[in-house]
Amino acid sequence: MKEKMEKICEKCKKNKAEVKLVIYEGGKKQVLELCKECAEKESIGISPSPYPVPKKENPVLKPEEDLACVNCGLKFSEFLKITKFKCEKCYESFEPNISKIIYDYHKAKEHKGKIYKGVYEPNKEFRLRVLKRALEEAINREEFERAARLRDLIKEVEKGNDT
Amino acid sequence: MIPERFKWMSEKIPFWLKLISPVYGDIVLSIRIRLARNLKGYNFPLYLDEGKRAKIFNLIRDAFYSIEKLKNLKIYEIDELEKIEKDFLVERHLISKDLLKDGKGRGVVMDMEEKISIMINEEDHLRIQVFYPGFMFEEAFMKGMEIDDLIGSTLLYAFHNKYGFLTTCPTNVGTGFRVSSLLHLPVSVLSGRIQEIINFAVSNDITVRGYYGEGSEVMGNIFQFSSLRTFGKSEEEILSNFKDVLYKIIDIEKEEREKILKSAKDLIEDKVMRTIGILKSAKFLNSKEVMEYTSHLRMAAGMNIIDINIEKINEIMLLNQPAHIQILFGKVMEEKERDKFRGILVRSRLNLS
Ligand SMILES: [Zn+2]
Ligand SMILES: [Zn+2]
Repeated sequence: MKEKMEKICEKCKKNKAEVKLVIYEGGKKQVLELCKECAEKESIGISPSPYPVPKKENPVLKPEEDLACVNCGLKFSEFLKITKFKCEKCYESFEPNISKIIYDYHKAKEHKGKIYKGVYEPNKEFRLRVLKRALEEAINREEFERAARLRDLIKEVEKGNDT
Repeated sequence: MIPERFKWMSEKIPFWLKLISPVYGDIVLSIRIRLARNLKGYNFPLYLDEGKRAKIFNLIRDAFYSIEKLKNLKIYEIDELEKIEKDFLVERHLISKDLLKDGKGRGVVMDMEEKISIMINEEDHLRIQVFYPGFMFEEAFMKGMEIDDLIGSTLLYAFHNKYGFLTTCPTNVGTGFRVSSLLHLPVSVLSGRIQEIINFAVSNDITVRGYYGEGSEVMGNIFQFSSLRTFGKSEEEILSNFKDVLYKIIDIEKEEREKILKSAKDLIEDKVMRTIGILKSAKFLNSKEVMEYTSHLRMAAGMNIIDINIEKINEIMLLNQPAHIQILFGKVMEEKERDKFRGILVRSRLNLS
């Protein structure tokens, strides 16, 4: 057998890489070559990984001026290195750059979804909407067991009980 | 040597691996929804020293104790756990590896059924996760929303009118909501339609991950699909987009299963009989092999070629992991010894001997 050049595991940088983790995200393909142990740790496993795929692109913008957060003092140039904020005020402190960074990733400008005002508004209607759409789906696909479960759930929510 | 704390857990199959939703249980292994939340007025965890983290951990723990519906959940500080227990929780997907780095002031909150796991001071102050089996998206969604409502009405969240829920990483901002699922797609891999599936998912804002061994076969033929965007769409839209894509994928896999049953049933039967032969007689089994063999069994069971309970196969896929083997047998083991006990485990659970 022909010996191939041995690849080293990209996680521990120690063992021989034997497994490839392939990630397809946003039209891009990324391959991580891992050793058996690290692949085991990354878990080939059986439940959905609790962790979203780490982002490795950026920085998108060059800072024209190196702003600092008014609250925590994090510099914009520091943020760009790892693209993690230090506090909630960073978002406003680094404008308008943040609008652009967020737009580039999410292709959106405004939050849509759950609204929070220090406490949640009762959202029975919203829950019922989700459940009723699912019920329709289940009936269309002739998933009768699931439809029955959803019907029970709808009754519970209508009664005002939580799940 | 090995603490007893999680032994009870290692001896039972978590709720999300049960076959509650038998329509798709052969294809959809499990689902998860996640919500990322941060507390108003505190720096994000990434930049906190252990003292500050501990303060937030205590604050959150006290809040949980004060919420009637959540006060029975178990709360652990990562620092109080042994290494093997941490690995065990990672294998069980109740925590991420990131939570383990310096475990002081970081923690996990969970329920006995393993439907809920809430990480404290991981990348964000709170990562609420809900796990369900099969296609129980709405049940999972409702549970997640309920927990979020309860916590958010007790503690103050960091929220912004334009950006929604504020998170450490801009890729999670807005809803902080992701939905993901593990799918077993052996026949789409066999027939080559998997690339079509991946392209379709990716073009619909869904990320796909798979592990490949040597050659091109994906290990265990298991793929993880997760929603990509968290901002600019409502939780409801993200969920229904995800479900629509999943339906399409399920239909492709089903179609391919029917085709292959017509054209090459004996080939599948051969593959499965060989697999059973190996499992019966192998003295050592590594986890990669077990993933591959259980995939064959799962496929055949899903196609009614053999009569093996899929839940049993799910259980083996879970228990097969290194920390699980050691906790289950109550003994610290090197790799080779684990391979031996893995063989014992598989034979006894499948009643092969
Ligand atoms: Zn490695
Ligand atoms: Zn800041």
